[in-house]
Amino acid sequence: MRLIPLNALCTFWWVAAIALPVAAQETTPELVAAAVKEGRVVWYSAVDVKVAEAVAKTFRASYPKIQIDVERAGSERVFQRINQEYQSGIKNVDVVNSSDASHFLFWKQQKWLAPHTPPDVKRFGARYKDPEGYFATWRATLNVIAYNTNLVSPKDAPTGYLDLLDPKWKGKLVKSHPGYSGTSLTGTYALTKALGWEYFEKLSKQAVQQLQSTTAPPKSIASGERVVMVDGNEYNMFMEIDAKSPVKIVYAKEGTPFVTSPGAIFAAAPHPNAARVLQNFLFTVKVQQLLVNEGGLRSVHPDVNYPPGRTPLAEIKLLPDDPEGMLPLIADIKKRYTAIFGN
Amino acid sequence: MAHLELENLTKRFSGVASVDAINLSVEHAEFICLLGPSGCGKTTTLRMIAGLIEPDAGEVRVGGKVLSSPRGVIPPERRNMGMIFQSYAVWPHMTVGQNVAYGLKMRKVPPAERHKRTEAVLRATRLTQLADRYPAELSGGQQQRVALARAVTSQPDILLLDEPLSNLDANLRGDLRLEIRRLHEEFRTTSIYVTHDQVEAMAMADRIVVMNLGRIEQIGTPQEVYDRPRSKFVARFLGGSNVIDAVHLSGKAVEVAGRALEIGEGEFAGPGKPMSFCVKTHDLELVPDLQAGGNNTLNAIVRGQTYLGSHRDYVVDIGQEVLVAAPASLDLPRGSKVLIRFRADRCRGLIQ
Amino acid sequence: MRPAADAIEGTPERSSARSIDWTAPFSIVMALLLASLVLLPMFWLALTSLRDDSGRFTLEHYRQLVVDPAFLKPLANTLWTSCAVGALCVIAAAPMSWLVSRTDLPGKRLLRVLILASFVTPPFLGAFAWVLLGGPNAGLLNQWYYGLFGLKPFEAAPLLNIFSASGMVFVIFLYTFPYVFTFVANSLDLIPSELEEASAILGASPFRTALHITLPLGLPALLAGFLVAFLQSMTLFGPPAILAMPAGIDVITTKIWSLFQFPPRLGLAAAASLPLLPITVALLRAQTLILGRRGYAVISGKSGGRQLIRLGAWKVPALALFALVLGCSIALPYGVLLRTSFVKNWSRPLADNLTLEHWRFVFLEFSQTKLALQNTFVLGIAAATAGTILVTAVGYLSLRKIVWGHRSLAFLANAPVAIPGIVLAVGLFLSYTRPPLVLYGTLWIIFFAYLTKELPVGYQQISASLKAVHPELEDASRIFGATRLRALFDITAPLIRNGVIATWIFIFIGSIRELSATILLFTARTKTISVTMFDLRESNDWGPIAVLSTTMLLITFGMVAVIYRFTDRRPT
Repeated sequence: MRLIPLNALCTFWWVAAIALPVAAQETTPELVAAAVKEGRVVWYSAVDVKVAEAVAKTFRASYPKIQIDVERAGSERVFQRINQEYQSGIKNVDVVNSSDASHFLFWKQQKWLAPHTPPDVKRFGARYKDPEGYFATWRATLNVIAYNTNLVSPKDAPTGYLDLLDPKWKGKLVKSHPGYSGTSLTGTYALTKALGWEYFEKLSKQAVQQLQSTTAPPKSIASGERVVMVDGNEYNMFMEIDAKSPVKIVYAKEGTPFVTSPGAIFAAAPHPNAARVLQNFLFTVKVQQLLVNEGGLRSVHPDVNYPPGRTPLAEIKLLPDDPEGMLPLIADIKKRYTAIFGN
Repeated sequence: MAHLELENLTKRFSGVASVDAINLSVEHAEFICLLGPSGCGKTTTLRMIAGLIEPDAGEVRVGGKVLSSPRGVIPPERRNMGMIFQSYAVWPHMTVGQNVAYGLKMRKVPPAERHKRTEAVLRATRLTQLADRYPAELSGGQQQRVALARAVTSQPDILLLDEPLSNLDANLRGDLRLEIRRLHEEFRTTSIYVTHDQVEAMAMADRIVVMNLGRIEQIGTPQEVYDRPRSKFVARFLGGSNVIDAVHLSGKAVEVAGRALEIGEGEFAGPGKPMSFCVKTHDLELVPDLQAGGNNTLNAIVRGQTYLGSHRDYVVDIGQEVLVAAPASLDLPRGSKVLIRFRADRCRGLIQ
Repeated sequence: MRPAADAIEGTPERSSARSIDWTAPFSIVMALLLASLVLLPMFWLALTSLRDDSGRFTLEHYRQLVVDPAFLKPLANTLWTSCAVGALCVIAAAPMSWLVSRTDLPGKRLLRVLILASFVTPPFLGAFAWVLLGGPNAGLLNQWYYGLFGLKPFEAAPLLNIFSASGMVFVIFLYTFPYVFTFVANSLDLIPSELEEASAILGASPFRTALHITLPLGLPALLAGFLVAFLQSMTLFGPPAILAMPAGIDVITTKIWSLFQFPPRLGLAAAASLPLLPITVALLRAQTLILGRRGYAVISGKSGGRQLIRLGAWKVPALALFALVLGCSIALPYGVLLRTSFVKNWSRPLADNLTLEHWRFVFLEFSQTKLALQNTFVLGIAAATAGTILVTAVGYLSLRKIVWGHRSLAFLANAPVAIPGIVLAVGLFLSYTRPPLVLYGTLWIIFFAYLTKELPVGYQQISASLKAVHPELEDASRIFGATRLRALFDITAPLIRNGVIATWIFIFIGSIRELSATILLFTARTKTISVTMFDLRESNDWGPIAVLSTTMLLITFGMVAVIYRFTDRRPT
């Protein structure tokens, strides 16, 4: 029997000790120590800015020695910025979250992402994570219709998308733009499949006020600036309802687009260890519950509970998202939409 | 050796010679005036002497040493000159005292002595009680006195004065003129004074340099330049002269309006050639009686007159217009026919 | 060669027959610096517009520009809205400046200060405020109007809909009219009152005099003001993005910006940017021809010394005009921003609505606030300081005609006025995202944008100041023994001190309110306050926007007041 030479063994353990923290999936003390040494983590997210800051605050409470920089923009802009930065050789972002799942397919194709499966993700359903571990659904929401209850009586309220083509809604509608919002893009794609582009052409005759992010229309109808939102995200609606704004959600009878928003880590992240600490943290039940409670989001984490008053997913007719199908059509969707509705 | 020498000094702007090869020698303690109309190059010459402008050709020498030439220029700060400007150039952010002491400060005179000398000059120019004031609080005349005091304090080799009285009210000019002259008597600084006012030049200068279009027309004492001008320009510019066109006959005789006149001296063109001569208005006699006769007279018609209290100025026509000073008591209407008598020795021939 | 820093310390010159001429090499350095700031971006802009993705020469981008309605429409929109802004500015500013300059209107000093405040307010900030005021259904003015007349929103037409081309024109007008006012008031100040008195003696009423005498005399200034207002309007990004885009209306600046959204179509962006240059150059030439050699003018409080026309009872409508315009540009917007920063739901009444949560969010929770504030200030201070030094040096060399080619220096310093901010940004982007100098992603590229953009303003300020210093003051000091450098230090510097400070302030204020160039050049770590506010608009976060706006205004006015206190009060 040959004994393994002592120095080879030492070398092995030494290499493993350095390499392991980076490859580790769990948040071990070594990982945290390495993260603290890096001192910072940069998170680009498309979630509402107040939700993002609330999450950041929780992270700071748990890891006071790691500074977290939150960069919030609409998911299309997050996509643009990251791509522009990478094209210019700027490696700034560690962890990303975006409401356009097709972005992650693109980044995976570019080989920009690092495979990493947070411990909680192991228990997610298969359709909510990438088979090779490059990304997983961090949050989900619905793209809903809603209206201001002070300005619309229950009997006049719309029940679905086709109702919005009624001339009585002219000049009173607001919606988001797929050129700026991933949620809007996903929803638009789902609706073109369900109702066709003719629907949008007819809708454009309704003098719809065009905003950008899906976080914007809920605030617009809450203030009474517009009466009905054609699309906007459900989580901002829940936040408005919790703040006692006079608004109500409509789950369209034609179906409600379901939008998953993945999260991932970049391979060239400037703070790789801190990135993994953050990513693991983001998928814990604590943060997921925070997203649900304070952010009004939907989570695919099995241990998360929903506050009362929120319609369970099972009771809603959903139009599921299809990132692979959407990816090759993105530029075309935006172009056609812009041609109909403008910039 | 002269104190200041200008040799062939030339300066061109945009190809045109603003100062055209001028030559001048100034002796120690002389008070020289550069006199001429705007654009004659007098200020440019002064600035070249100061070292503010580089010459294109020629030299500026002080005490034999070359200060300016096309090859190089000793900068103004090393020439030990003083300058008074038309705009006073008194520094508005310094007090009168600080203005006056500035030159000494630049020459690194120790503070105690600086103070002493400044006090002395302020006393001499009667500016002591204004020492702590700022220029904005002073009148134009006071500011120029400050400029004078400032120049005198630093005891320059050469003092340059660029039309210092032009911006002042007429009544102040007289006072300041005396002040400048008085300081010159006291300090005997070689001075170059630029002006377009011939009265000033005559009152102040030891010698006058009359300039026109970049060239020197004549250099001489005030009396020389006034009484014996050597060109039409000098005659006209110094004033008080008529310049009459004539044709040279021979010797000292010229022909004007068909008649022959005798001239005293000057330059003559050559028989048959056109020339001019100058004669002072008060050296012509207006004779109302056509029958009076006499040599050297021409017929004339009165075109107009101006009563000036001490005398009358008549404009008469001898074929050209001529100005004649006549006694105040002689009052002739327009159109009167008169004789003009020329005193030969008071007429001077000019060919330029 | 003597570097500039050495020169200011006044080291004694070596003794020699010829003094060491540091001015020539120094000015060559200045010229190179200016050229690289101004000409380099334009070079890359032109080059990129003529190349396709693989680097081959092509006219395709220009062809698209001319045939594609997606470009022609924004260009047309830009031209007509800018004309409208110019016209509106002239119509309002003409009577206002006449009243301030020629009549005995009370409170003139206050009015001038308020107009200065309009001048200093960033247009995008005004646009934000007017969304809160003039949003057709929830806007506070509309709500008040509905309430007053017992109307219902969505059924009755609103008093005004700010989300429209005319809304945008209105808001741009509110923050552009000070330019025209300044031009016309300053030129009217110079008209001797005898001309008007002659008219009055012949029997004309004050207003007929104004129409037949004063107006024609002030016409050149009016025209010049129109051109400046046109130019300003053409180059703005904020108001079009905030007010016109939601209504589906594009102008050329928002179009260029949209071309930069990933994947950026740089060739098209470059081609779309370039046509703006000849337009601005042509307008500026027209302005110079009309005005003579006067360019910018500074608001100053010239008073009296002339006969003022008595208004009598007309004082009331006159003041009402000012109240209307200044109310719309200052009182209402500042008020609504302050209010919005303190309420939960901005469109609801104050009762039960007050909160400090937005202030708390912005300053304690929002991680971008600190960085944005820091960046904005660093950039503002750096651009102001570097800019002031640069224009002072160039101004001195140029005005004293010290070096051959001084006219080119002055030209280069003024050239950026012909380059709209967003065009400059495109050029800078193209210049500095390629080796050897990749500055994109750093504060440097934004610094260059601000420095270049503010050069003309700084240069105008400093040359006005330098012109007021008679060259003989420096000559005198040299005669009495000071070297040229010593003369600069002892004489020129103290006398232009106020001008230098004013220059610094102008450049600083211009930098911190900049949006149209920053919007293309910033990255996550190099955000400024203006861009942060613009981002928040994307998600309708009006509370935080209001907080940041109020903060920015406080800082701006605070800095102006602080620096004003330090200006020299000695009689000069």
